[in-house]
Amino acid sequence: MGEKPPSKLFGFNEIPVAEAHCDGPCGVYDPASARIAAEAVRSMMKKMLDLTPPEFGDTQAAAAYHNTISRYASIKEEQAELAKHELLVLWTDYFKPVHLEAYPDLHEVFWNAAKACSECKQHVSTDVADELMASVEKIHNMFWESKGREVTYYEAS
Amino acid sequence: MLPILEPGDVVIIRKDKHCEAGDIVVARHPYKNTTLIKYVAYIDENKLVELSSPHGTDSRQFGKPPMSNIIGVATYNLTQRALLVKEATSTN
Repeated sequence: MGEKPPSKLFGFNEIPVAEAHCDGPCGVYDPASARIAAEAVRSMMKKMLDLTPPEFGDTQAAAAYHNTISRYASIKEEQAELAKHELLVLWTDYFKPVHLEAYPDLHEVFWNAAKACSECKQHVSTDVADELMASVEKIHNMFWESKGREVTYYEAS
Repeated sequence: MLPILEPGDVVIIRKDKHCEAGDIVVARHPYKNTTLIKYVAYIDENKLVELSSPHGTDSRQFGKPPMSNIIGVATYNLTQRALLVKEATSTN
């Protein structure tokens, strides 16, 4: 069945449409979702660095340590990828060519922010995480300024 | 929601507010006047439904609608001739 079945068969004049991907041309964007994911990345790095490595020879402690650190790393990876995705959605779908007039370095800011997400996967370093947070804050400011609204940047953690 | 749902696919739904994790549901958007089709990730104790879409927007962006926003459970993709539920739906 390649073509649409006749709507009348289902009692509609037109078959109702449901959005599977983006919820329509909604125009609802908010850099907060990228910020939250980036904060989670930083939080996981801190948790990983705060773990006490096991004493040599203590197999139980070693197993627990590796289990916990693996789970933290797994979440860090997921959240870094999510942050990257959220940032890229803002770049590709929200910002328009006209914004380049006000923000000529817009592409570079996003490029570096996406790279910072990758760095956060590769490293366990709050410095690297702070670089990502700095990018996120910069993007937050560009975004709300472009909407002519003052929205104070804050971090949840 | 490729590949199980392609743009333009016609999908049969069972009109039912009650759904479970793993179902694909048609639901009213929490605050916009639009209809969504997404996975149910889970339902919390307050009957708020976490909706999930692998590469699209979902509850991470728009929050969790109440179960009363659920229009129905997608059971069959008519265009692709594919079941969207694990077992054949039974009549209760």
